[in-house]
Amino acid sequence: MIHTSHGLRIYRKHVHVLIAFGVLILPIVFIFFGGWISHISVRALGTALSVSGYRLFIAYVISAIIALVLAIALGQGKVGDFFIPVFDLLQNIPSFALIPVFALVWGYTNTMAIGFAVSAMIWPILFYVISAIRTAKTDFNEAATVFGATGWRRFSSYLLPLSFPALVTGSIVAVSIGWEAVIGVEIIGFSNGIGNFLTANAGANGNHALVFGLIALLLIVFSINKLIWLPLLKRSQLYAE
Amino acid sequence: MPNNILTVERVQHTFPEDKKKFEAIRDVSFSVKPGSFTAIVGPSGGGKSTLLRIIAGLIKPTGGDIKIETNKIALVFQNFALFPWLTAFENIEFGLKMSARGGSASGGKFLTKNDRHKIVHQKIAEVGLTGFEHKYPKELSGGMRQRVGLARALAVSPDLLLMDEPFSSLDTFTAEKLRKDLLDIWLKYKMTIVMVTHLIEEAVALGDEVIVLSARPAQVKSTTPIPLPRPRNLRSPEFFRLVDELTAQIEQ
Repeated sequence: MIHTSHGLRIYRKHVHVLIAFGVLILPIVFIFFGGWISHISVRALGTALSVSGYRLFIAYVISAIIALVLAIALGQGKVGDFFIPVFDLLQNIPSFALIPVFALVWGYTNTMAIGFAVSAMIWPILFYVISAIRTAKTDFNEAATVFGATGWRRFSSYLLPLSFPALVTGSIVAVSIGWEAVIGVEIIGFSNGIGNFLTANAGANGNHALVFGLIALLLIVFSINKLIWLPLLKRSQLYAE
Repeated sequence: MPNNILTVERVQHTFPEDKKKFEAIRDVSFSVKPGSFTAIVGPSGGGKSTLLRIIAGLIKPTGGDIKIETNKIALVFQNFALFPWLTAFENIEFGLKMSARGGSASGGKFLTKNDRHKIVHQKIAEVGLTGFEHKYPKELSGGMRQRVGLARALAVSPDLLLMDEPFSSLDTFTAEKLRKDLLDIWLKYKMTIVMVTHLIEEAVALGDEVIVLSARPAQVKSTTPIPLPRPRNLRSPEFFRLVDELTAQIEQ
């Protein structure tokens, strides 16, 4: 995803590492400390977050791969002129309306949750990457062609780095949608995950568990933002002219 | 050695613009000898860049034929076309990485990473960019970016170097310096150069031959040899006479 000559050398200074460490540790400390004070099962909360996080992560990886492949294979030129309206139509289907379809095929299983999340997450990545490729300067395309970028090399050395900023921005939106999808489907039909944890603890014991669950979730989202998305966004500025 | 490295035969090109067709090039024919420097001039929007892209294989003409006696072609772009995520070094290396086999610089053998880096370092030195190889394009001036563009083209040891108004985005002094450097490189490697420009003085200063194209749709108005000795005296009466002659042809 990131050009090999740069690696992932985002954390170049000690202060970056310290901040990253602090941001990572903070939610964990909060969960343990807060849970201990409020007599909440930290284990249950941690498990719920892990299950949802796992579903979201797998869904994101699948969504990113499918979106990238579709964008590059079907988003360019005259082929893109045909498929983009088709994608536009498909993405307008309200995703939650598809829950019964997914449940019918897979039941309320991990596969169902992941599949449903993919169906919601794929679109922002797809459209951001298509837009990046289609609005790229003609000169770039021509230079890649003239200097022999074909097949896999064209994908890895030209299209992928060209799409990188769009991939990051699309991923940020996609993961946000993904949380909604995963938590929503867990609320509706799952006996595990953070969605189920929040629903099960709503109204119980003065709502302590509900509040801590929400705060823990917010801290996880904040941590992902700080540790992953913001550094990648900063790195993606390199890819802009 | 073939007589001509490039033969353009009755090339025409019409762009489909929705329902209305847009004729950019009409019946253009000319040929270019190996090792020569040919300049193509014409009014802006006349189809010169389209013609160059047809020669480069980027556009398929709607009519006519292009015969090129080599597959080692490189292009230098007007607006540099450097990939912003690559350093100067990596941009220059790009063409070498993409090709399975090296050009004449390597005798046709497969290039290892060390081979590629050696070639890139050599080209960086030739274009005067030593010390800037690890800068990104946004950190370089316009002149430096075009040097990277030129080095990228030279790195693949082209037999035919196409240049699309390579100095038009640069200031006068930088353009003048780069023209001198280009001539030095051309005299050293003696590749064939076909350069599109809208500056008649530039065409006469650099070219062995100047092809004048008309306004759109582009047609060949004239092909004028430039018999001036090199290095060219840009203040000689003969130089000005040729510039005036070509200017008159464009204005007709």
